[in-house]
Amino acid sequence: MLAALTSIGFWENTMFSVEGHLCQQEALPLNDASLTVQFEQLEAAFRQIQIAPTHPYYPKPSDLKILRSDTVAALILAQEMQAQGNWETSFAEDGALLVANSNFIDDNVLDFEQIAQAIAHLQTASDPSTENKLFGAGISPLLPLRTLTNGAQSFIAQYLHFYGSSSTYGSTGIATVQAVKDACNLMALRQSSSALIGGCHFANLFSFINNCHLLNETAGYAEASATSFLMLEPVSAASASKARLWLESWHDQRQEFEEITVDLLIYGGAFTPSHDAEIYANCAQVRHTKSFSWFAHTGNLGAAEFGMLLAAAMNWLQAGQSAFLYLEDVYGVWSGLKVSKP
Amino acid sequence: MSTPKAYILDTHTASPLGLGTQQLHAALVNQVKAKAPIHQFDPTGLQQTEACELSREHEQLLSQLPAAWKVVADNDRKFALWALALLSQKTALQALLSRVEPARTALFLGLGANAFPVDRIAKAVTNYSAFGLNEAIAALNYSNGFQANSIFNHADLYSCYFEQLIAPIGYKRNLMTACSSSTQAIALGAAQIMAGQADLVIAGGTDSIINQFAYISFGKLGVLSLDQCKPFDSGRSGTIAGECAGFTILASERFVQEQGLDPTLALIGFGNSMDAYKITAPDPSGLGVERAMKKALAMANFPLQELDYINAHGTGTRSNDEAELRAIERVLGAHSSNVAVSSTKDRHGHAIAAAGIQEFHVLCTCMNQDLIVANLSLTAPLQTSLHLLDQHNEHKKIRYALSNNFAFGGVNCSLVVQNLNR
Repeated sequence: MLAALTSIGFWENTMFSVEGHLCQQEALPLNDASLTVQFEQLEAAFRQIQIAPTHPYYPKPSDLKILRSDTVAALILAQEMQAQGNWETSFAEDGALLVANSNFIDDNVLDFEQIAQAIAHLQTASDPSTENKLFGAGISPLLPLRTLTNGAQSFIAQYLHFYGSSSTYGSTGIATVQAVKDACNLMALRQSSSALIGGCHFANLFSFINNCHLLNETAGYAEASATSFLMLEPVSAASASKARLWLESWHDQRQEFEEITVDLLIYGGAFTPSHDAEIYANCAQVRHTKSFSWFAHTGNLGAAEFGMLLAAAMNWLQAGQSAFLYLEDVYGVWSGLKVSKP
Repeated sequence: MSTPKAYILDTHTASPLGLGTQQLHAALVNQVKAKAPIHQFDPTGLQQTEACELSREHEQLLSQLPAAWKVVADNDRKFALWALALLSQKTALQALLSRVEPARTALFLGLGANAFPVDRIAKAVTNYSAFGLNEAIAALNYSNGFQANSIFNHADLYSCYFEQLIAPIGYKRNLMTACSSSTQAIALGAAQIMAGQADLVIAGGTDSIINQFAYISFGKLGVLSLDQCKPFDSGRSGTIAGECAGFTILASERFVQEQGLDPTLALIGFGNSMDAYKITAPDPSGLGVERAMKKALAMANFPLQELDYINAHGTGTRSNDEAELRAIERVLGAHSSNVAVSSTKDRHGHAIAAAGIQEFHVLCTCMNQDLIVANLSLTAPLQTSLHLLDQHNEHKKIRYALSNNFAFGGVNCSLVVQNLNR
């Protein structure tokens, strides 16, 4: 046994829950997002989170200058979870906060117009000195701040008054799996008493630019902005009473799959229907009664997807049942985790 | 029971102070400062036109890159630096990794932000709007045929390239906590070994802000000195831009014993903390920094009087240095005057996400050579009870040492290294 999942929350489009509640699997609507971008003769559909600026946890105006919408959503969700959850008071001092988000690369998207204008100035430059001065004049000092403040992780730390160990992880779905693995290591070494692991994803043109050439085909490409957070605690008598899911074992060798039998196979990471089928084929050796993927309902959820896989397991497993979570990113990097319902 | 050690088998960097340990050691002994006029783009007209760059001589290694990867390296300096660091150690890395099951290996990388190749995009833009910019990027950003785009890539690219060039790896992590990225990569890589999850870990990172887009953007933050980088000096006025790529190789006790190795250094403690003070500025009290150091020292669990040296973050900026010194003073207490403290950023510049691996390499080289490096540009030290080494290196055995790095957003990370031949 690796850890106890004691709390989970998520936000994708209109699906929002600080307690991780989902409707029945059969009642989930299919993704009805229409085409939102055409690029290089390619097409993609994105779903977005609608955030009301009147939300009580909406960030301060000064912070909004360097926040993306997915980071705002993550910040609101984490604060809601803190307010409604029963997190140990020690979390703020010696917990771990590990957040994967599509920062750096997506940060630039906010500044596309500004960068375009700055580049436009270069057309009038007759020498390098003028070019540098014009480009500098067109770039806001907020631009480097947006890329260097580590996205959601440091904002959450500030708003939650969190002083413990924290890291920002990479920009694909597997990054959140990596964060969960590191959280287990930190708790095993007693460096952290518990861990809040999050992921947030900004579905937009820039994400598409990064992914489209890495796929075999792009027909039916779909992504959704989303965020999810989960609280892990070490396996103990104390955590047993509040565990909503046990994280049992990692399975990172495919030859192990045939030896695994579960009630539910939950897989993720796809950007297109054919990619979804490809990923299912890569994990279908795990013996399972039913399977589920978020793709048909939401599209790819980026760094928020692993939390959504865990939420599905938590909601749809009966006591004593188990699930195998399989996530594969656009580079083919993958990991498997067996979980069970207490 | 004490925490298992992560043995340090080797550390390697491609940096403005040279390629590999031998060149780095020579540069440290000879008090080299790498600051020179920028050659990667024409900085004419900017207030600061100098930085610490890798020498063109070392860049020759990039000619070994196949054309498909060359285009990626041409657009992304940090990929070029990473490729250079790996190409220069390819045989040694392959030999080492062949001695362990891939499932028991891991790669932890600290990475910097992506940068637009401004000049190339500007030439391709015909319609000066965001739409026109998109069109230009569409024309320039294409697949290289090996899971990479010519310009914009996910952080996973660097570990995928490692696997293509060197060998398959079991676990891969990308960390993007700005100036503490590669320090955290080393810390979490050590945790992987200490928790029994791996026997061999490659941990490090790569970054450069010496390109038109990042350099001009960074300059607007007001953190680049227009004169000299002078860490811990009362006349300090900012840092100097640098670049670096590299890695350290960490091993478990089992691997060391099975392979009959005799490492001289081990990573025995790390500490991470958050300031949770302000997004755009560090806590001036240094409380977060203090927590990171205390956690690292508590994990390392050794008598504090045996701590001989601290390689400080020491950026030379107004906001960092004072807070870091006060935090170190509080952590060391009565021992503060016995511990030498220096920053080497005035020699090699600030490599941002790669600062951690660059300074870890400096630290390991010093520990193996009984060398404590001076604050080379220090002329008017800040008031402190600490032993701020003033311009001249010292030759002295370092039994235990600590390395600090802190980042925008208030992320702090400290590492403790033990000299096993003390």
